Amino acid sequence: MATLKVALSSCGMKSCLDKGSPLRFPGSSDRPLNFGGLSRNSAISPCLLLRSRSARAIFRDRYTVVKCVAAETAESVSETSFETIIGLEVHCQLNTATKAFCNCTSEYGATPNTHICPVCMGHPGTLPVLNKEVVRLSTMMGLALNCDVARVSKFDRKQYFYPDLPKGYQVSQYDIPIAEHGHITVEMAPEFGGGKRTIGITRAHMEEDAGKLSHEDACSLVDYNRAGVPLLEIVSEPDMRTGREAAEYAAEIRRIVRFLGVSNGNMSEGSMRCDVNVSVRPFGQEEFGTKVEIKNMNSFSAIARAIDYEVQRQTGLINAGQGDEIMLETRLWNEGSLKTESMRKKEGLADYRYFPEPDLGPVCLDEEYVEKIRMEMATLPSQKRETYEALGLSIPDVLVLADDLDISSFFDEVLAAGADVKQAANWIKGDILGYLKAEKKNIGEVKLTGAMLAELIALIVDGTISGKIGKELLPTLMEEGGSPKALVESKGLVQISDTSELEAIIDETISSNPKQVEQYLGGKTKLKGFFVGAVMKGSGGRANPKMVQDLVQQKLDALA
Amino acid sequence: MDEFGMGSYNLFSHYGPCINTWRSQPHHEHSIASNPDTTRSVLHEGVLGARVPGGSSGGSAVAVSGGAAFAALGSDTGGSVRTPAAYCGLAGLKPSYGRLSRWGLIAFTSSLDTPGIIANSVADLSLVFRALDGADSLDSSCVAAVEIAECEDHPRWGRLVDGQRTNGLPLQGLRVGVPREYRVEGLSPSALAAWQTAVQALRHAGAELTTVSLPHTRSALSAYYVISPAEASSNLARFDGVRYGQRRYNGSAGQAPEAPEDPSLQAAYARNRTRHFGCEVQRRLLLGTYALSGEQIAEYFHQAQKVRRLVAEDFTKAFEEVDILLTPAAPGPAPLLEEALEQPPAVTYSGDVMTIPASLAGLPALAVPVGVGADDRLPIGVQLIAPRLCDGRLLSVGEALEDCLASEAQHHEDTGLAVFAAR
Ligand SMILES: [Zn+2]
Repeated sequence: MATLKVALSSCGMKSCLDKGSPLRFPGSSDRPLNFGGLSRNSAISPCLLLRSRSARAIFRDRYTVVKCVAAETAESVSETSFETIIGLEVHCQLNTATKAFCNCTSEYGATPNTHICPVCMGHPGTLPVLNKEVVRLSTMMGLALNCDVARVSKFDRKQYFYPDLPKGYQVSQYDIPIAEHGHITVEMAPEFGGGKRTIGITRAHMEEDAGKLSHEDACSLVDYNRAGVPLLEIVSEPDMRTGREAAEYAAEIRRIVRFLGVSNGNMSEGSMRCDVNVSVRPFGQEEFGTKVEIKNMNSFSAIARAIDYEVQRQTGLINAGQGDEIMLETRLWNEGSLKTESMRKKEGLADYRYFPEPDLGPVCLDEEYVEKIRMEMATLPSQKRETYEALGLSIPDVLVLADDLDISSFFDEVLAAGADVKQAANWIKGDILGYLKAEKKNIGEVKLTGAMLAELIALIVDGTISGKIGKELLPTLMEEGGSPKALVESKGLVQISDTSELEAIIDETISSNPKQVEQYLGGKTKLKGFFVGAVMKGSGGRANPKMVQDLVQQKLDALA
Repeated sequence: MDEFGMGSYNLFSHYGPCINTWRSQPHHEHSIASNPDTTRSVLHEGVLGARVPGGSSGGSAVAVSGGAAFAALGSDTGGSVRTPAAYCGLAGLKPSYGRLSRWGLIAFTSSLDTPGIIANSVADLSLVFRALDGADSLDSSCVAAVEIAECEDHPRWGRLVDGQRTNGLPLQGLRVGVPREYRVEGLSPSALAAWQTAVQALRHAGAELTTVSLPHTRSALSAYYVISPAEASSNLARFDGVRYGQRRYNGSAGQAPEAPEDPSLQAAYARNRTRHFGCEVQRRLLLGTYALSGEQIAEYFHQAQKVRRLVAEDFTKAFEEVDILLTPAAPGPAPLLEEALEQPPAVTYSGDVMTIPASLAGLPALAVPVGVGADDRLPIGVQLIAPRLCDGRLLSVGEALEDCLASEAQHHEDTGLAVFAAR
């Protein structure tokens, strides 16, 4: 890192840093002259020439470090004694109203080529203007990923010819991304081994999306609605060892973007896309095996399955002495056949001829701006989990309640309305999620509020209604809303806790079941349950179960 | 203009070469006219002896010098407005990078491109500049108004106030630097004479002339011919025949397209681009793509960026001692069309030596017409270069120089130059 810092200060970007200048975007005042992204007051240093090279050297060094750690921890030696090395590249579409460099809406699903303009179509003579929201969301995500957020970063052009790329290059960030050197911690579910895993984040950079190609019989069609939509590409360290870990990492990234509102993280709409790099090596071997890239996974379980398949395929080839058939290539996951299929071979490393984007100035962030974003940032899923754990909830409960922002917010509302933690958790985990799953709805689409659930729980706790009645009321509350208390009263469901009233029902029950009474008195004391059940039924479920237990016992004892 | 702004002579227009309205005296041409077997075959008899207008915005210059326009816009990346102005006896401005919006200007070298103005006089040109000046939110490289105001109001580099021009000597106290590196080998006698005449005129107007050094001037040319093609290779990538540029099928024009030879996408790109880009554009695209490629980028593009910063630093240092710089606008007068056509590219590129350094540094530079050579009767000019964003100062000094030249307009037999009278 030291080398990179030297390089930065020597190219004059440091002056930008030192001044503590405000967030400066292209076109605003006091911005360094845009000489391919470098300042006019540049001090000249030979380091400049090595800048991208030294950045690469740093990545290489980090790679080596990871490698050593992996060999030492060695906790995941598979039975074939191969070690799997997994890294992910996650593209998240940022939640902005408009595209990264023009005013077109970034909305998904419109008629092809209706959300386009001369800028995102790359018409000659047009120029990009950076959308500030892209920087704000990326900065927030950088902080959430525990990254160093670059106070000065720049855009570069990544060049290749493809029909989905209107300008013949993609505006991206190359050697100075907005965020680097982060990590996140994921909590593995008990069924997948449990425990926490810390996964390194190499970098996160801003870039624009390309158009969408669809291939028909005789031709290919391009929809440029997606061209220029802002993305944040998050690159992990090769720190994962199992498909499950990779899936959990991807799920955590989605949780983070959703909790923060950075992206909607919708995999089926492509607003979150995960590319996986997998290689295997015989345990103990120092060099990495040949890296294969897998694309086209539309769910987290697909990520896990695709990796598991790919690991099997690769170890199988090695065991069969065909290790040289593992190639540097991109494979597509086929959800139907549950296999990965070769899409294209990578012949050497692609040369994207990156160079600084001359049409956009450097992105300079000052401390105040970054701190403001840090303060405004919503609670992260990991923080939520810690809070819930501290409330005494079990890990499985915590994982369910902190998995989804809406559920977590709902749970928080219930607690804020004074409900008991454990009861609130049980209600949500059980009946509420069950109902939502069956009805294919999310919590925002039903009329039950946190306060209502708290009220319902309170009615049970104070004995106004039984738990059973509570459960029966839930669908009505979900569909119609309203006050649980008023509902209980209007339906006459208030629990019967009046002793004489209960005794009357019990007497009635005993007298109408002489045969069972006889058996009970003959020693079959288990039949007490029968009487309790009959009394509950006779009261239409409204009898206070605890009192019924006691009173039935008393009455039966009195008969003896 | 030259295709995509690439050319020093306006030979590479899609519609054929552009012709300068100025011609030298017939007696001056016999040496060439007696010898041109090759050129005769290429050129129509009528254009023998014709001069190039300079490029790439040669058409703009010819429109003004032919009286078809009061002023014309051009695009100046490495001298494309100043060179035609100099070759056609006109005033040409390349403003500071970031001063005039590039929105609508088809990108050639994004980090160097500026819209430029050509007019008969600096005074005319100033009128147009004032109309165009001002930040544009559509161009991120535009400098904000406050920053411009700061430069324009600067006590030393700001706009000349009216009092300075009317009371006594118009340029009293102005420190003018004459960079020694611009006295290049091959500088024509008339170009040297124009330079000397301008020095005299400025001195008479009260300016203090000093020799300064810009040591990296020589490297500027090679840096430019790396950076510029590199960025061009990126900017012109969109002309691939998919959305822009024509598609080439192997059927002839007007016929229904037959199946292309090689159906692959890459082959289609190669066909479209080979067929539709001119030779100079193709030459520069190949050069630029090479300069950015994996193994070459450090040696070429990064090295050139470094030189660019050194060139900019030279100017920054020079402007600590002087307020404005005076150089020739071109190494000589407009060459003959047939000479230009036969020139190897490297020789042609070297003609841009006067204009490129200011472009690399993003500085405002102004070609000011001085006169015509006493011998060849071809126009020749000088160039003023000001600190960045001090375009106002540049234009006011240019106007003052024009006035001084006109007031002492006379035939200088000794310097071999006929100075322009008031325009
Ligand atoms: Zn657009």
